[in-house]
Amino acid sequence: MKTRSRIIALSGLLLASSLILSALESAVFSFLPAGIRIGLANVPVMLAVMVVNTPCGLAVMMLKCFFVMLTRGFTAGVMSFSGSICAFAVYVLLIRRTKVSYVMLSTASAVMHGAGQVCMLAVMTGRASAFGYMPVMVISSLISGVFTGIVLRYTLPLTEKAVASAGENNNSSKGGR
Amino acid sequence: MERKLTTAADIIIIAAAAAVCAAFIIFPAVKDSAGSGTAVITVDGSEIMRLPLDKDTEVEIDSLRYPLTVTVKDGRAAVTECGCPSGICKKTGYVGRNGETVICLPNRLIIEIVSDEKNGADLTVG
Repeated sequence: MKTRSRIIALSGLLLASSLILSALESAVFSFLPAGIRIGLANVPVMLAVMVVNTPCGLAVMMLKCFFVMLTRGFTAGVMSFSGSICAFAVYVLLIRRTKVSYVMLSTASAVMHGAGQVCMLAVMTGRASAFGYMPVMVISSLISGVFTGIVLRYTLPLTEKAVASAGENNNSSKGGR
Repeated sequence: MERKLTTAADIIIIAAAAAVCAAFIIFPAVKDSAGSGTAVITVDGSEIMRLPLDKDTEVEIDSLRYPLTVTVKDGRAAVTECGCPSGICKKTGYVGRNGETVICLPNRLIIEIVSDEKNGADLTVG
């Protein structure tokens, strides 16, 4: 049973997880070249869409990008947004219209995220040579997408269970009265 | 949970996409030599400077939002100092092949290597 307050609390948790994962990931994997990332920060967004609904996922995604803009500057925020919105669009399409596997969901999102960022890079610099970064970006997105797909598949039941048992606790305390 | 973790189709699609990208990275069209080109520096899409790669120089560009220094050494160019919040431009290091770029996004700046050879590769990817 999803009350508004429960949704808000869950969204807050997912957003916090996303920001923490993003920070940890860039700290641990700081050796990676520009724009290449593991993408664990997208898993909470994907979970939000699955466990709550699409608008909730969109909110978590937008707030994540806003946070990037606040902490790492306008340019970084725009890059994050351009990648995330492409990834989110593809993700919602796949999850609502098809039955593709978790790995495909996550990999498609990851590739679109990277592609969106490379396109925005070309727009911001005004030069087509920015597209030269596309093959590297796509390959790393394919790899990270497979990994986050596996993470998604195994965190989904845990998230659903956490939401469900939060509901049970409330109900049983009401029943005791 | 109606969805599977992965299917055979996924593996094939992903492997094929990876192979295509790998081909673009490993096989540039024509082999060309470093040191025979020009570093074209553009900001916001318009060219501000050209540095020939055969002459070692160090240029400070102060007119930018975040002043930076471009160094040409041994036929290659790099951003050696930059005040931008990102620092990715410095991390890119030296580039010298035709089509290679160093990008400083907060400055909207690209240093693109253009080969002087007429039959050099038109673009380097990866």
